[in-house]
Amino acid sequence: MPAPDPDPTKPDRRNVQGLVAYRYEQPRYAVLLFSIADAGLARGFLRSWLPRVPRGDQDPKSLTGPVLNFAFSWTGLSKLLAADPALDAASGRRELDWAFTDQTPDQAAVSSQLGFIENSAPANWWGKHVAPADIHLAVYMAFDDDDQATRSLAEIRTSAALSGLAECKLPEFGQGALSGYRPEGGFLHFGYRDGVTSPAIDWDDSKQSGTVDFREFLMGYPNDDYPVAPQNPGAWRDFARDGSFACLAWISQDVAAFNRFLDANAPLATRHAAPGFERDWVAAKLLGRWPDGSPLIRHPERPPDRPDFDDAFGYGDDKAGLRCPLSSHIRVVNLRDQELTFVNQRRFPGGPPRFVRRGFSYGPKLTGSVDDGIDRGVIGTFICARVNEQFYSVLRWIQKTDFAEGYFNLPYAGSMQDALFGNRKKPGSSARFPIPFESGEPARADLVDFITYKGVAVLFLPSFTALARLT
Amino acid sequence: MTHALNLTLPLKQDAESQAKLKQLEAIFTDQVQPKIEEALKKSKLVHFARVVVIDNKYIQVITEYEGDHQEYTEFFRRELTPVFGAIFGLAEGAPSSSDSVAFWEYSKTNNRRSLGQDTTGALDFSGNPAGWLFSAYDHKDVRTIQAALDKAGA
Ligand code: HEM
Repeated sequence: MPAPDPDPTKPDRRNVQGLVAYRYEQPRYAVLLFSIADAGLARGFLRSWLPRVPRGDQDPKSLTGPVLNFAFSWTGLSKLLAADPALDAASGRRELDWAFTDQTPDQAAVSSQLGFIENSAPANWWGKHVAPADIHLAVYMAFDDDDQATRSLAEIRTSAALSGLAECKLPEFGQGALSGYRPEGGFLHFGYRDGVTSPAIDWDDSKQSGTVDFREFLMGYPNDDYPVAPQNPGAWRDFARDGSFACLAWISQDVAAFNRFLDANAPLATRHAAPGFERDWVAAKLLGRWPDGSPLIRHPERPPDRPDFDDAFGYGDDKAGLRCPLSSHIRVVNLRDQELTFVNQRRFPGGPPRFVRRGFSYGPKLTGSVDDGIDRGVIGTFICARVNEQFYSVLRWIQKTDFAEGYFNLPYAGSMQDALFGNRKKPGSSARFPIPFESGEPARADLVDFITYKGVAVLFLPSFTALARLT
Repeated sequence: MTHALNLTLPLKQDAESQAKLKQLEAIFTDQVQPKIEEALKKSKLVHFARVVVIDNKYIQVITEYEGDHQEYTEFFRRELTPVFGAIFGLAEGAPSSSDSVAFWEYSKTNNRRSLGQDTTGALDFSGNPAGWLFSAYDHKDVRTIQAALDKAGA
């Protein structure tokens, strides 16, 4: 199928990689990371596997594995485009998002801001055997079953080796690469259901309420509210159009520490949670949703009998966080109707940052509060169009909740952290988690580290038009 | 953590640009200063700010502000686009202030490091240890200082 002609006013779903448009139904996943030695051979590799990359207008139910997606680091992209005079690296550096071409997450200029310190520092990433700069190409794969995963991985690895691609191997994983599974019922390692919310992309630019401007996710259509790079008309903007950034994060979860935290703090729930729900109440205060996915703002004392997935809620009638604490995860990473600080209102005239989130879990389930020494966690992909304004901003807010006015009112503070995912060693931030009540003193829990970042990369997820130029 | 901006731009030396510089100086108090003042006041991020011209050869924008350098670059660009437009229009090699990538790159390249070394672990725009910045308030942020003053009834 030829690549569709780009429309300069709005995106064509057929031109967008499937990963942006929908969640795959496949149960098994892997992300292979490669270094490119020879651009010509690498192009051949991409060309031969391109038919397995689904388009954004396909029905995910109709897809059979292996399903592939291609994403590139700036080094990888510039290697592949070295012989393309219209897309020279110097002008690419001038036009593209600098968080992709220059200040990538592993760079000292940004890493400590984003919480990549101590155990999560870039020096420890990728098992210490892959240098961030060696990651040129990521092949994001979805499989129908384990057998298919094993067969397809072998096949693609053989093809890659013949194409001069050196794999950035991660022996920590059984498959030798980031790999895992769609968790049963959507329940992640901490026991929360994920995949409840996802922004409804306004593909037609209808501005309908409840939808999110496609410019939040796609390059190529900058306007005043969304000054998405490349802003200047020209070859790079045309190339980037209908492409996104896939911010890939290998996040290890300390389930034993999390369970110990719930056990230790369950007494805080006495008289506040329905009897029997004390532990889940603490978990819900941390996330802003009950483990079954129901929002705490609507169900403050216990989850409903059947999970409530209605996402049409805000925090307007809970400004003090009496039902849903201000530093709970979902209140930090999706602000909804909370009043941003003046500076952030000006930064985000189209609304606070949003993401298309994709991902999968890895590692065996752990129950109980004793660690078994086995790594487990999630491989998350946060898709957006502006890295500094979206991905980096929200990572900063996870470390320090100074982004919205309400957070400066006692018992809160602008120096709090996302209750689940802040790095507690971040200087200038506080690990105190206040849980206020209608009356009486707020409860306070001392947060610990629940996660470690083990590798983060900002990758370009090109359109089919751009892939045609790369193959 | 308080950071310093020592943006130092070489001024164009042709007669037309120098005449524009004179114009900017003439209207600064009445037209430019209030705009900057309003934006910075609302920002609750900036401690001090000033614009300095050195012998008609350089123009400096000097501020002490909160937050990581990268975090609020888009706020300053968006909120003060006409002001930066006027200043950039006088400077050598300056991009359009409506281009977010070029704005960041130009600010990064032209931010001059102060002598010495910061004692709080602050980094410059490129991730190197920042130059020395004295703070009488132990680098307390604007909101904390304002809240303390409000409480003291100042
Ligand atoms: C181990 C790491 C993480 C885990 C286990 C995790 C888990 C969750 C869960 C269970 C939800 C609620 C389910 C839902 O709303 O669909 C959620 C929501 C969300 N998370 Fe995370 N998360 C993690 C890290 C992050 C990071 C690093 C970011 C941002 C960069 C992020 C952004 C979001 C967003 C935007 C939502 C949707 C919130 C909403 O729309 O209400 N998450 N996450």
